[in-house]
Amino acid sequence: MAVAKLTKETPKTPPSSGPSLLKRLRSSVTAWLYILPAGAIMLLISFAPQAYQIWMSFTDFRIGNLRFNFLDPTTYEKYAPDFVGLENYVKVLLSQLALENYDFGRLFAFNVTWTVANIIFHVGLGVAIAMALNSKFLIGRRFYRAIFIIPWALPGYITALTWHNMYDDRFGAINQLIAIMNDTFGTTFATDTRWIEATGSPIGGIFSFLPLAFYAVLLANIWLGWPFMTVVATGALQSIPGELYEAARMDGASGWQQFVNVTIPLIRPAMVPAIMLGTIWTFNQFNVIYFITEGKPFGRTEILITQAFKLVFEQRLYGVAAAFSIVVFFILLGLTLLQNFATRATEAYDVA
Amino acid sequence: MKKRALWTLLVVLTIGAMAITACGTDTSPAPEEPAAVEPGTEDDGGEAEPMDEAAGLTGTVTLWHAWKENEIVSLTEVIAAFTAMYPDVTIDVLYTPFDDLRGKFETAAATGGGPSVLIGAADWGPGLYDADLIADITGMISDETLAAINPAAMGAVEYAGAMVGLPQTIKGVVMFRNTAILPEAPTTYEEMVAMHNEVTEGDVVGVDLEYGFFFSSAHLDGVCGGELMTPEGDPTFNTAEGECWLSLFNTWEEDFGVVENYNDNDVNLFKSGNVGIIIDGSWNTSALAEAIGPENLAIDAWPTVGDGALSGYVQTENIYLGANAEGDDLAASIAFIEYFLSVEAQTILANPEAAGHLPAISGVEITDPHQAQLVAAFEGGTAFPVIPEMNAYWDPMNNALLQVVQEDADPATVLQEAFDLVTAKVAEIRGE
Repeated sequence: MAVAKLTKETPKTPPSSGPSLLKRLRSSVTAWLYILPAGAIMLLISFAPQAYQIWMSFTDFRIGNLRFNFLDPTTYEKYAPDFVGLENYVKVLLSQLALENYDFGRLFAFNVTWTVANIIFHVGLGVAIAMALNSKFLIGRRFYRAIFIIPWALPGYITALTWHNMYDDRFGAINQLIAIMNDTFGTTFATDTRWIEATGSPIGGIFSFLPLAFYAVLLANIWLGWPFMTVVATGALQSIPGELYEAARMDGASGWQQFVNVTIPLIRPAMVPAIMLGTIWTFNQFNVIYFITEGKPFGRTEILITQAFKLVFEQRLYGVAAAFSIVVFFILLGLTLLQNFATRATEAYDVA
Repeated sequence: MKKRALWTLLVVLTIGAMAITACGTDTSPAPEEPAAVEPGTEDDGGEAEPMDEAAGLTGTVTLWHAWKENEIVSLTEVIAAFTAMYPDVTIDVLYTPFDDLRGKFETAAATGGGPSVLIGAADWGPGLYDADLIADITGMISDETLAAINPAAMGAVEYAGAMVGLPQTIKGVVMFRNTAILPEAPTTYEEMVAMHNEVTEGDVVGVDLEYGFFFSSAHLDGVCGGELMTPEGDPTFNTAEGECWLSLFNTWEEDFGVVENYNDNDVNLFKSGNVGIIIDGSWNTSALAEAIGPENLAIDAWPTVGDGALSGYVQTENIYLGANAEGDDLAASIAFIEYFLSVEAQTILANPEAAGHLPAISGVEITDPHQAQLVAAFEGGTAFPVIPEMNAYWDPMNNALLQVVQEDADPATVLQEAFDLVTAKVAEIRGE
């Protein structure tokens, strides 16, 4: 049964039939002028630092080189860092950095697991709650929509610090809540669990590399992340014409079939960019990791970006940290392209 | 249509440019003509000199610090006293949280900005000096001021033949006691355990000790007779004494039930009057006294353990001259740094109801009993290593402590791992 057919849009005009490059440039002068101020600022505050970072990643830039200034030749002799070629990249990728428990492969695997686990929960919960909020029969929808935004509206680091305190083994709210539960229901759950510091893994097998702190921080980030997906999904759901569901019902489609064949295809154009954004945000979710677990236990919940931060602020190895950030950039670029390819996110669809 | 769009754009750009120009224009009122300064008369003699000097000093002192609320009270008082002497000097003060201060300073100073005066940790000095971010103040400070500074404290600012700052207070890790819970000070470790067992009941805990590396490192020497590093910074802790040190904290956990690693549980419990003894920094003396009442606070000498004794790091907090200060600002900043080490300023800073700093100079009378106790406790302390290599030790050593105490790992294995990592980090710091 097909209740809606999705067809790929064909370009309206063939690209080769356009005017010459010079003519097109002339005709777009106004457009160029419009984007000139923003473009100049972007060049200054975004692209220039990135270019500087790329250069820095090929040097042995340290605290002693901080006074080096490209625009001031008098600083060249005394402060210019040594060019080291790909050495920083080799150190990063072959786990040759003098950092606690540093293993790039493990760090990368953890970062990907962290991202995938979060996105699954964010999207799953986000869409499910958006559908519930979209139901005509739900009383107080506006109220729910307002309060569900709270996790998103709070500053990330405040939330992270609150969760950090909640996980304290002696005075944290979680263990105290468990103690109340034990008193009330006669259960015997442990009330001194070291949520962040414990090194044991609650799940074995292929997940044995994930300490308890992973699940603790995952829970905190799920709480933080789903409202965004709910907002996006709610917008997309509200744009689906009711006639499509009516037609599907007339065709005898069950609720699940309506979800799979109408809802998912039609919210996908909105959800895919949101998922891509969510992937990038979660992959680089510095606040949550840094403030809740601080990489504990023993660096096992570090992600790439917190490790890069430590290279700068603890080791002051600016060159290595720059290389590290470039590596993170290429990983994210690869993940985004892969996601694009898998989800055909850049293709447009019409409902036929 | 296209022309209209172009005109619209030009108008918008023109208005934008005017707005930016307006923002850039100094709209503050023009400075008033400086008040005429009465020249000192010839017969003013020597007394007229300070006035002349004060009248001549202008410029701005930009001061960055990470002081706490009670310390800011004293700092404000010091600044007020300084500006009373030098009315034409402007002081700009910026508070930055301690964890961010060094990074913020490095970034600002490296690009030609930043403060002209920085108050910061003693171990920042060598690194900042190597990077030319702070100045060598040799020859800038009067002999009189230098002669008054505690000679041991001066060791914390002498590096590579330069004077990279001045010590403005002496501080360290000490043992605090709530006399309402434990009226007598334990003189031995065994006594401390016995006292703990005697008073621990309900919410009250006798002893809650901190074993984070900064707070526990000095026991390596004090209790076990070992050494953390050579004077050059190379690790030397991978010995039987090192194992003795790591095992010490397992003993603590067995004897006291609870030990702390870099958290404020012990301090918060102490402030709420629920703990008898904790280990913490002397900079918290005022806050602890305020919380439990000054009459209930005591700072004890370290108890003995076998042939040795527990110990804590003793260090200085320094005042640095930013490398970018020049002209009038430089002169004003040097005057401010020198004033900071004067008897007058150090007396203000020593006020136990405000900063409560232990003076770095002689000539300041210590009347507060807690400060007298701090001086006594520091006598059993261990000098904090002020070298860039110290940065290599923090995480590996604390992780070693955590592995032994929380994971019951083998001290010898853990020590070897920490040794290898510290060695690699030291090489990295030296660029080897």
